[in-house]
Amino acid sequence: MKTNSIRFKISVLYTALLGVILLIFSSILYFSLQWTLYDDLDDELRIKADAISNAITSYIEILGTDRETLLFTVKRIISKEGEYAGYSKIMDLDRQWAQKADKLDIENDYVDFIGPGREILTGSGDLSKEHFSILSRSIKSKKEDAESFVSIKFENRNLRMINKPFVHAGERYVIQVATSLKPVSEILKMRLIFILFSIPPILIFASLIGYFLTTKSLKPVKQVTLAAQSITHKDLSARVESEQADEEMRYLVDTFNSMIERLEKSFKHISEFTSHVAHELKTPLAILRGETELILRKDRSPEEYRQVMQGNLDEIHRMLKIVENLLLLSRIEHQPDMFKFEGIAVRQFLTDIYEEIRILASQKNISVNLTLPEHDSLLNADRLNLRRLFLNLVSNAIKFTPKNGTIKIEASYKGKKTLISIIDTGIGIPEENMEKIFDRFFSYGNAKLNLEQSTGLGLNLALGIAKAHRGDITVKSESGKGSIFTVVLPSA
Amino acid sequence: MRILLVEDEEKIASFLKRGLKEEHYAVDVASDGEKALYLANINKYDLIILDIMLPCKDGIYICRELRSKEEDTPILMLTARDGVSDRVKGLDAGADDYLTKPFAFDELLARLRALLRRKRAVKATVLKIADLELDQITHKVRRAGKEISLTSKEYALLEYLMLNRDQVVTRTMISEHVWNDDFDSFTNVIDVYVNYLRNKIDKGFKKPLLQTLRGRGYILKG
Repeated sequence: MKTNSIRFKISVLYTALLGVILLIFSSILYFSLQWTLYDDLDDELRIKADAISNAITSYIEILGTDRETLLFTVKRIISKEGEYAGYSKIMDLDRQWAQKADKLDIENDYVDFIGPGREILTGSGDLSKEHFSILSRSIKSKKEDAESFVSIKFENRNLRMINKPFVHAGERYVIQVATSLKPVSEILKMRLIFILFSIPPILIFASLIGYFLTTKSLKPVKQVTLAAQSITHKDLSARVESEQADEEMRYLVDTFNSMIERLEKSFKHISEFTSHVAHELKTPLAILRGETELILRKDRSPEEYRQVMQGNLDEIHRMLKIVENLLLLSRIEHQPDMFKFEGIAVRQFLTDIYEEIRILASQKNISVNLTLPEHDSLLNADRLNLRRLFLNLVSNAIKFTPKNGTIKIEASYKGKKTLISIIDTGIGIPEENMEKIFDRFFSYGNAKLNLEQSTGLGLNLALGIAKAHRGDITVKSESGKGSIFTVVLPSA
Repeated sequence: MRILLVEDEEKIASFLKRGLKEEHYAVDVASDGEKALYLANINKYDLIILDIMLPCKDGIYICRELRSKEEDTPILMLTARDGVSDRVKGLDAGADDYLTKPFAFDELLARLRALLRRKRAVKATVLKIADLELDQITHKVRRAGKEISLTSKEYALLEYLMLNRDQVVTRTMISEHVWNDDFDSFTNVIDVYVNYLRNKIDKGFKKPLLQTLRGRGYILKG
């Protein structure tokens, strides 16, 4: 269990939180219990003190209200001592009091009677006079005739005591009743033990459950981690199952999976491209190597050397063209901002193309016709690459058109678009190749027609340029009759 | 030895033909599969060099076709593709060997020699008959230790005769294995070359090796 892990942190946090809550809750329960118990005990004491007070009052009503009588009465009530001559007068009271005292169980309590000067006048038999000072000091009352409660410790016992004022003949006396807190303490102690013994197991159990739950919900994260670790540039097949994941994790897993898929596609694309490049360059390289090796095997005439070097130079140019075109294609795909757009006048542009092409076409005695639109318009385009596009298409037309053929360049407008068509009377494109002609490295070599080898990139590049200008190229062709390549571009 | 070269890339076919001819091979070139099958049908080649990437029907298909016609001529495949599965496909289609482009010309020559040796009982690269020696790699010819200089055609003719030593070799056989398609059967060029050869290897030496058998052909006998 790493201390840095989410699971650990969550478990600790959650357990600590639970611990705090339990402590607070237990404290509340404990103290409310304590309060209740003390309250009950105080009520008991109050009842006892009241009973004593009432008994005293009843007695002195009969016996007389002087101080002596008062003391005697109190003594009799508290400790059942004291002889009295007229016993018959208080016989009933005695009996009543005895019953009451018994009922209230005052026997085990400490009872004192404190005088106005805070001196202990009398008390129950258990007390010894040395300890009086402790007891008397414990009287606190803010109001003259309010009772007060206090917890004290006396002779190693914990007591709860009530101080009840007793007013007689203008003098203020205090009745003190103290009872053992032991029962209460026992209950509280049990409760405390219970709390102390039950909280730790609860916490441990809760933290284990928390840990377990966290682990379970973080499982997809672990799976994603494992999957991610297994991925290298060679093996991008790892995927994580998302069916069992919870909603939040599912999102992570799905995103992860689709990211890998996109990477896989990218890598595949790159490696296909790279192997295509290598493949395309192998043929010119084979030629270069073969010719050079051959010519070096023996001494040759200068003319032979010259011929081979010229042929090699042609191949080098061919390779350069391939590399250039591939770089351009790659840039079109990944750096579309390489284009420098400007407004290009259609009529002038096509006229320039026409002039350039005428000479090339005349070598095969192919005639070129140019049909310009009546009014001029602008195209938003990169001049250099737009030129490349059209030269590409037209030189293709020348290549695939036999001698004495015709090539037409026609431009027209259709709504917000400009259409420029290259129409030739060449050998056309067979049906099965129509979809493939714009593919990278698709080349149509034909030994019978003695066609020079092409790079196979021309149309692919042309389409790429058209698309980068937010246009398109469409083609119509009939085998043996000719082809029509139409470039559609948005008008500026 | 006569080779059929099936290759559509004009420039590659060109330097291969030139190079092989310099090595005293007779070479016919076919630029597509159909032509190759046709030529293989009417001529007897000692070896076929076959490129995999051909227009229309690819080299694998042509190879299978050749083999299905019980053509047991050794076939060496050429290709720009070098994946293992491509090599396996080529060899399983019936090719005897495989070279990827770009290849070293020397390696091509060595593999050709190896393929041509397979049919022979004696696999040494130096052919011998009596005191006449022909080294197939250096193309040097000696008799009794003395070096003899031969033209390309003379060498090719002597090599063929030595490979078929002690057997009768007809003019037809010679025309088929020492000359290519350009051979004009209406001339007596074979006789002329046999005479040239005889002058060089037999004249001035003790034992005549190259003999004419009237009405049948020639024989090189030790």
